[in-house]
Order: sequence, then structure tokens, then C-alpha cells
Amino acid sequence: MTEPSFHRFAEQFTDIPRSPLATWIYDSDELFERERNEIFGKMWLCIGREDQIPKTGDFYVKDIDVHKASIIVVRDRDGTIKAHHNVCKHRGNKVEWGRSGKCRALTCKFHGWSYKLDGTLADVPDEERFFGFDKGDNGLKRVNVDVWRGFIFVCLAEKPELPLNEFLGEFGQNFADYPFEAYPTCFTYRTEFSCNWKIVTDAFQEAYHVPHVHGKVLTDYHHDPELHLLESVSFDKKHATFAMPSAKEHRATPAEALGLQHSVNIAAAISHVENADENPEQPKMWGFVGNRVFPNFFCDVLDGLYFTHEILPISKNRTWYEHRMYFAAPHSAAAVYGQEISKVMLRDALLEDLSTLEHTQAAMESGVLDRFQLQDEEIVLRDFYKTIGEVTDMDCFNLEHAKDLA
Amino acid sequence: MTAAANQLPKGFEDLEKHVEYWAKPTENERRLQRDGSDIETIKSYYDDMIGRVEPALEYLNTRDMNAFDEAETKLFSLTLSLAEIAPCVEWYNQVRVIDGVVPERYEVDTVIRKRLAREVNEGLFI
Amino acid sequence: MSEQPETAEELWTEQHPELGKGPVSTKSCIDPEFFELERDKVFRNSWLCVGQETELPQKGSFFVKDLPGLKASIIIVRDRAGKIGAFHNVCRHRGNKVEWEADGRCAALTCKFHGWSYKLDGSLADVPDEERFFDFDKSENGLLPVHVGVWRGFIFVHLAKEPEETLNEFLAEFKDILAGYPIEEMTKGYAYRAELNCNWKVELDAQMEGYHAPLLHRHSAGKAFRDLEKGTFHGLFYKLLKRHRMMSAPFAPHDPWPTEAIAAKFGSSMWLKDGSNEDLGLNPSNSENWGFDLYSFFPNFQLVVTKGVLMFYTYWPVSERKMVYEARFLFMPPKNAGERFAQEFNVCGALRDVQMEDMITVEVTQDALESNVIEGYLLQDEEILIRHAYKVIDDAIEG
Repeated sequence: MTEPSFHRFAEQFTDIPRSPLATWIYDSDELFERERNEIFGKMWLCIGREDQIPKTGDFYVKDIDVHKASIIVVRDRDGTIKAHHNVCKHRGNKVEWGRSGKCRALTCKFHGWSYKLDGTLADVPDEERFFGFDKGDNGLKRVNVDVWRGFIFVCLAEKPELPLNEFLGEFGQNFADYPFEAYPTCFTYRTEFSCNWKIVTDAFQEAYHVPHVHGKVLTDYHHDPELHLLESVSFDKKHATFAMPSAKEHRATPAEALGLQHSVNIAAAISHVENADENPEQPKMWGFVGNRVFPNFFCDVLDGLYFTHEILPISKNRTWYEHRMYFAAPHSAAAVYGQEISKVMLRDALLEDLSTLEHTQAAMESGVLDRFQLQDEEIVLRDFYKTIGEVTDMDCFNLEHAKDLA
Repeated sequence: MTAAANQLPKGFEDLEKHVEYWAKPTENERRLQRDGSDIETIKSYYDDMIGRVEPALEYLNTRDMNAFDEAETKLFSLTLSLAEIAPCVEWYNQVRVIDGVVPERYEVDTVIRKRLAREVNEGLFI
Repeated sequence: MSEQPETAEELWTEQHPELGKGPVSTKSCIDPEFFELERDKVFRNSWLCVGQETELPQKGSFFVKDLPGLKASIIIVRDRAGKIGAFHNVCRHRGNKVEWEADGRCAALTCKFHGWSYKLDGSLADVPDEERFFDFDKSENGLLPVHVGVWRGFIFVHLAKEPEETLNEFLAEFKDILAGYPIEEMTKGYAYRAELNCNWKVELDAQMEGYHAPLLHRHSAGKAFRDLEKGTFHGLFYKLLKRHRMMSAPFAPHDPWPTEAIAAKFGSSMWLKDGSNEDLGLNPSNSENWGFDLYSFFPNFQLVVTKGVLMFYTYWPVSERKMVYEARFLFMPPKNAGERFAQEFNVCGALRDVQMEDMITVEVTQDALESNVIEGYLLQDEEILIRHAYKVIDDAIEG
């Protein structure tokens, strides 16, 4: 068997640029405006899971700050998920002020206008005093919403360019068998960062960093110098899937070993490879498969748990980040302990990823570094910026453009 | 409630009762002690100590400052505490700076202090 | 250059008609746009004092200076040849912070993100999986250098790609001040830091005039500032260069308070006037009432000297309404406990509390300026250094 080349992915995907990435992309007002319109204004954005709103009347509110949109996501009586702009048709007041809850109807506290869960306007106090008024024309403005494997997506365009399943393309096929529904127990971590949204998304699109950033938490990477090399990469539409290999032999710490008797954790899950020799071309679902759903959603699946990253820009240099970890429902105190261990390991690994972001932002604003040189294993990043360039018509690999902006 | 005896060099037995409270080895500890005391406690220390600083320093000057033993370090810390609380008595007649920022706002920069304290008896310079 | 007045009655401001006498605009202390211009045209275009050589005792010693208001983090390091270098603390790979410790000693600077490793001279030594890069030459990817210069043991950096002037040119005549004063030997002392909710210039102004001293410090050291005849403060001597400035100030005689007397006996008190002229480069007007000399360097660095204490201040902008104040009070290494006690008196028993009296005014002033109730400062003759400082900044922005 010949040695795989050091540029194996570049040779496989010849249309993805190899040249350095320009750093003006993190600080450009113009690019941000185009991202706002062409990406966040037009594409499907994942904003949660059905499990958050299991019963009729359950709802939560999601803000998409770059479009000043506040969206009520609600479980309707017919069992479907609806999404409405959180704006009363009367005089524009916010209808739902809570972050989440359960209700029978959505009632605006300004004048008592009341909407059914499906958004139709049900009740208007003193209705007779309006002029040429038809309740039927004045329901809450709908937001396009659709659900894939339990994940809720919305699209702010009046009419989405593509229905969700076409937007996702082949991507969804890879997970036909992954049991998302088996992991309903969810831990959430949320914060805001003072950095451009793309500095956050960069953190989750390569494994080159794993031995260095996560060396304390994921110690197997010290024992195998090639463990972090991606096993496979595939692109479809704007999305990407990359599989990380599994450790040949996982060495657990004592606390971890105790936890592992009752629950899985990330380090061990990486090492567990089921059906490894069957279907070698398929990404190994039961190792660690990272998935980027363009533009801003990541879903990393392992055997026994999965986790997601959701990133939304608030402004050019502020970003909202939400991280969720999903486990099987624990059936014992010991299992809860096992999940705690896993949660803590993952949280610590996450904090390692995120410690650098705001410093990088300052460096970008100062203009001191004009380019990032990305290697072959960082191909998922390079593909991301190729895609951004296509959608916004601004070439992210054009170093010269920095001069135009100065 | 007896203070441990004989923590100070001979000749300074009258100050033994202040050792536990005022013989703090670092500036931050001395500041905290000042700030956490009432003015009567401070005045009482000042009255006991102001006449004893000179003899204490004369004694300590005969010793190698970079190699003080425990008793000498404690005696010396007492003199440094006197310097710390002197403004309360000689200037303000109260514990804190009159019309000043609260002490936490004017922080000891321990990172720089440690760099400056290299090569000496650090305990006396932090 | 200014000429020394023949008599104390002559006004300093009259000698500098270019400064005017009218109110000085407060806009530069509150306007966010001005702040950005100031950051780029003043701070990123000047020599800035970031520390002292004594902080790098050995080869491999380093410290990091974080300057968030200037969007910069700088590593200052003494390399294997003993030379001092400075670099942007930004990894050439993807902009991560390379060095996270405040100081230390190391053989190489390694970025914890992907393991890129730089030698002490900034060159890129090791890149994990180097072969997987494209058209990549390590020799072109070292840490981005920052210009560095040293004067009298103080380390200066310049953030421009090519500074318009050398450090010596920047210091102008002040490069020769304090000849004979043992700055390089005054290596022991105290250090303080304060985060203040005011523009950096508002706190700097507080330390560029003695007009306030008899009153604001009336409980504390004010007696040392109060002219015995008039009860007010009069500088002995002011000198304005193109950008830097200085004041030589008197101390009024006073009966030492009890702890001060002890300190003066075993060491010295900084509050006692000292007219003796021992050729240390102090007391330029040769006055028998001399108290201290204050040198204020453009943009944000001050040295205040008495015979026994060297006070070193820097004022860092964070935003138009936030700043970081840093102070060091440095002494000759004390020879015995008595000298060490005197130092403690000077700082912990006096100067520190006096600084805290100054600071209470600055945050309320900032709020008042932002309310736009006044639009200009009314400055008297003894506040000439403040007038000069604002003009120099304005000229730098417009220039």
C-alpha cells in the first residue's frame, strides 16, 4: 500500500483553494453585511430540537439578532412545529416576553390580542371598533420552519430557495441509522463572545488542534501521533462531514473508569468502533464524526452520545454560542455519575477550544496578521471559506482585498 | 486567650501581644489587617509601637536583613505594620483614606512585585 | 524651548503663546471616535514604555505586556544572545495567543493551539504536520517582530511597521536627563495597578500639576506642598519640549510627623525638601526648596524623582472611558532593616494613600464630562503641562 500523500485531501478535492486565507474577512463590514443578507437572511438555520417542546403549547423564543428577529417556536395542537415572528399585528409589540414556557394561546399583553398556537388571530378586544378589519388576514407572520431528524430549522426568507431536505442534500443520508432519539437527556451551555462568528465556527472544523488543545482531557492523542489525522472527509451541497479515527486502546483515568461502567464518555466513545470493518467507505458512525451544516450548525456524533454547536452572529464582532450535549436517559445514580464525568470532560475540552477566541479577534482588528496558512487537514475550513466566498461573492482567499478596505 | 510567648527577640517582650494580629509578612496582608480593624485597635497599636520602632530598627540593623530568623522577621513585620497604619493616626484619624478610593481599587501588582523581589529575602519584599 | 522666568511672578503661559490661554476642549476625553484616532495616530505611532530590563534577568526570560485598548499583546524576551526582542503575541498559523503566562523563562515559545513552536529570536522552529501545508516556508513565518529600544533600563516598543523616528530621536533632549542619577541601580520596590472608569488623560492630568496638592492632600502630605507665604503651590521651573514636558517642584518645610521622623533618621523621607545639589541631574533650577522633578513623556509615561525614590507611572487607554494605571516606586536595594522601613514609610505609609486621594476625583470627573455640562477646562498658569499635553495630542491627530 503506498503511503498516503501529505496533501491527500487537496488532491482529492482540487477545487478547494490551497492558498492562505485572508484575515480581513473577520473584520470587514461589507462582508458581514453580505453574510447577514445572503446567508442568515436566506438559508435554513438550525435553532433547536423538537424535544425542547414535546407537548402542545410548549414554546421557546429564539432571537436572530442580525435581522432583529424574535421567533416563537411552538408545538401546535396538530403536533407540528410552527414558528412565528414575535410581533403583534396590531402595533408591533412583542407578544411573548418569556424565553420559553407553555401556553394555550399567544396573547399580547399590550391590548390583549390573542393568537392561536398556529398563529391565527383568535381574539381582538373591541374588535367592532376597527375599520375594514378581518381577523383572518392578521395572524402572526409565519416563519418558514421544518424539522429534520428532530432538529428544528427556520428560514427567514419569504420563500426559501430550497426546501430543507434539498438544502441538506446527501448530508442527511449519512445519519439514516443514527439513533438521535435514544439520547434525550440534554445539558446546555450558552454564552456570548466578543468576536466575529467565523472565529467561533473555525474552532470546530479541524482535528489538527486536538492533541495540543485537548491534551489533558483526551490523553490518547499523546500515545498515537497519527490519531488526529482525519479518516475521511466528504462534502455535499454546502455541508461537510469529517470522521476522526478511534484510539486503538483507550486509557481511562480512575474516575473515568468508574463512570464508564455506567455511561459512555467522549474519550471512550472515540475508542469504540462498531462495525469498523464493514462498509469502509462510509464514515465510521460509531467513532467520532463531525458534521457541519452550513452556515452555523455542528453536530458531532459518537457511540452513546452526541453534541451540537450552534453559532449566531449578533454583530460583526459579537457572537452567540450555544452548546448542547445529549445522553441516554440515566436509569441509575451511577449512570448520572457517569454522565457527569462525560459532561465535565466535554465541557473542559470545550473551554480549551474557546479560550483563544477573543484574543484572536483583537489580533484581527489590529490587522497585524494578514493571512492564515491552513494545512491539508484543515480542508473543512478551506471548504467553508470557499462556500462563503461563493455565496457572498467576496473571495476569502484574496489577500489584496485588504488594501481596498484600508 | 494567651498569645504564644517568645516569638520576638529578647528585649521586645512588651510587643509579644501584638504579634499574632500585626506581624503580617506581606503588604497585602498588612493592608487587609488595617482595613479590617477599627480605629481604636489601630490607635492602641500605634501608641504601643511608635516608641519602639527605633529600638527595633536599631536592633535589626545589626542583623543580616536577607537572613532574618523567624523572630527577627516578626519584629520587622511589626515595624512595617506601624508604617502601614501610621496615616490612620497621624493623618486621617480614621482607618481609611479620607475621600479616597477604596483600598481594593488600588491593587498591589503582585506579578510585578515578584519580578522586582528576586534575589532578596522575598518575604520582606512582597 | 522655554526660558527661565527672571522672577517667580512671571507667568509661564505667557512664554508659550502657541498654547493659548482659553479653555481646553474636553471632547478628547469622551468621544469614542477620537479614541480610535488617538489609538492609531498616537499610541500605534509612538514609542511606548512597557517595562524595565531588570524584568528579564536571564537569557530566556520573558514577560507579556497585554494592551487590550491598543488591540495588542506583546512578548518581550531576552534571547540566547542576551539581546532584548519584542514580538506580537499572535501565532502565525491562525492568530491564537502564543504565550499565556505573564512571565517566566523558557527555551521556546509554543502555541498551545496546534503546537507551533518559536525560538526566542522569534523564528519558527517547529510545525507539527509541516508537510501537510502548501508552499510553506518556516523561515518566512516567525513571530511578527515589534520594534524595541532601551533607554536607561526602560524598555520601549513601537507598534508601527516602520517607526518614523528612533527611540533617541523620540526622547529628544530628555534622553540626557538624570545623568548621574542611579536609575539602573534602583531595582527594588513596590508596584500597583488600578482600573479606572475614566479617560487615560483625566488621570494623567491629576499628576501633571501641583495646584491641587495643598487642598486635595490637606489631610495627608499637603503640608509639604503648601507654600508658607501664600498657602498655594508654585512650581520652581517648567520646561516644554515639542512633545514631552517637565516640572521641578518645591516642598515647603514642615515638622516631620512622628513616623516620617523615624524614616528620615534611618533612611530618608521623600516629603522633605532637599536643596543640596549632588550632581545627580536633579533640581534644574538649583533651588534650596527643591522637592521633586516630574518628567512627563508623550504620550503616557512619567518619571517622578526625589533623591531617594524613583516613581514610574504609565497610563494605558482601554476605551474612551476606561484606563489602566500602573505605578512602580523604586529604590536602591536597602542595606538594612532601617532603610527598608523608611521605604515602607514612603510608600505604604504615605505615597500610596496620597495616590488614592487623587483617584477619587477622576471617575466623577469622567461622568461630568460625559454629561456635557462643561465643554472646556479652565486652566491656570501652574497647569501649563496639562495645556501642553492636550495640544500635543491634538497636533498628533491632525498632523
